[in-house]
Amino acid sequence: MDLIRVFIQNATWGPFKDLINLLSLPAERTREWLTLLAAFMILCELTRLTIATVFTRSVLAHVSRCLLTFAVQAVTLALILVWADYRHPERAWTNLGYALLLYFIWYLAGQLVLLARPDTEGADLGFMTVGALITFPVGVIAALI
Amino acid sequence: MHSHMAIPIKVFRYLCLLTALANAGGNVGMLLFYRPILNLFGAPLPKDIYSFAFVCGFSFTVGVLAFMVFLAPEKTVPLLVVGIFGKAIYAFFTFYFWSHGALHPFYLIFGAWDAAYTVIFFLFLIRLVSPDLTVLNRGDILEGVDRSRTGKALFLYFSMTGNGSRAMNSVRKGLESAGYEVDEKICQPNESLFHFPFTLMVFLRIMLRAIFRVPTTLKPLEIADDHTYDLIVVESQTWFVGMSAPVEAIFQDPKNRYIFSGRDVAAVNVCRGLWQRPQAQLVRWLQSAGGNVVGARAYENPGHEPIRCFSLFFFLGTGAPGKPAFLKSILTQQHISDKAESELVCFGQALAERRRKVTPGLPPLIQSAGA
Repeated sequence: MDLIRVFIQNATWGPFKDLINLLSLPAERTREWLTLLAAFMILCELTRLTIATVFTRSVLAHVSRCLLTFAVQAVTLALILVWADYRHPERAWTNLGYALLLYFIWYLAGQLVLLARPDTEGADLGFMTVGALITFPVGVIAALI
Repeated sequence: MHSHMAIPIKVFRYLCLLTALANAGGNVGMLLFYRPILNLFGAPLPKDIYSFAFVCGFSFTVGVLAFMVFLAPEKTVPLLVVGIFGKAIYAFFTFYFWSHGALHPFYLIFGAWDAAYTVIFFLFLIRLVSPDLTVLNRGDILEGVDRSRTGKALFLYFSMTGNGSRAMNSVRKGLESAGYEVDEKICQPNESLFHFPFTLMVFLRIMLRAIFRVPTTLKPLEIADDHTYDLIVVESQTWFVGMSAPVEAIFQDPKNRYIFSGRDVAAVNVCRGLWQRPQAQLVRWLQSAGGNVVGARAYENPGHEPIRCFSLFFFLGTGAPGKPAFLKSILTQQHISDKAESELVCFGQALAERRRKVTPGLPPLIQSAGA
């Protein structure tokens, strides 16, 4: 038991706490969180397009692809906007502009795949717009409150 | 179809060679010359030489991996996945420790390099997986099985809103113009759930079932065990990024395997915009049932996004196209374009005229109806 207790007591949440802090989008670390979120959007879109033609009978792959169509990105950005507004309310409207930039990066990532493979859907602007209807109203409401 | 230009595969191969040289050669160089190199860039010497050596060793390994991908990309697809993880994790930790001031900016060169290669490896992976689908989507009609042609085709599909029926009618025209007889079996689910128009609750049930791939069952297709169809064409609509449940149910019942086994088969997909996964699912089911896939076509409904997406939502919500009336002028049509229909007629003709594989050592078959 002592071994387990010592093991748990010496664990660190440091990197995760730092990540949560970074996702409050502080002005002095703009370059860092923007890089992180851009990488997140790009990786989500590339993963979505990678699993399009593989694991065709896998429920997990299918659910993942459905979620990556817009829900994961849109909801994550919405939550980040709310969290950032809570921590730095003076930056709420600026953050909405950055969210728009991230949507543009998401779109570019999808279209980039068309250069690699001709028979690909590319970015799905339709469902991205549905995603935007989740992210931006939440962000605007958070900014107004 | 999908005919725009793409980056040649050899560009991806040489990018792999580049990172192979950089990772493998560069890390040997770093281990040998890290003092002068770090001095040159004003970076401090590593505090922990063991960790530094380990990182160089792992990075060297990724170089070997990239070289293997360069040598035989088609045979090393899983290595690309490993490479993506390796490069992404390395890039992430580089930026993480740099952002905490624990890493000299010199190391950002490696982080940026690996971030770029994460994307490059992803693109190469996307290019390499399921190459047979690329051939089909190029518009090729592949050779049929080496068996006598009866000039009879069977269509199997389920069309809830009529878009699929429209597509299959076009394929039928093409086949019939080339002398084929066409029979069709519309899938009839045992559940009454799958109908259109539907209520919001029914829509939500269909949606959740489609996302979680909940199967359904069909009434017997009643196709003779020794049927004489030499071509089976299956159509599926996209339901939430996947093929529709009633069409998938054909294949989920092992008793239906005989319909496709040893026959030429073709796949048709119609949808709002997400055709890739449903097509892959349909083609893989056809193959697993023993069918010889000779052709595939996928068509999106016409129109620009995002209005096309919202037009679909309005269509599904109101149960009719062009509603609500005040938006009629901007809503897009809920079926494939006339051009797509013309192409599907040609597809039908091309299927009818498909060549036959010649099995070495067997005498050629004389009978060749419809070909």
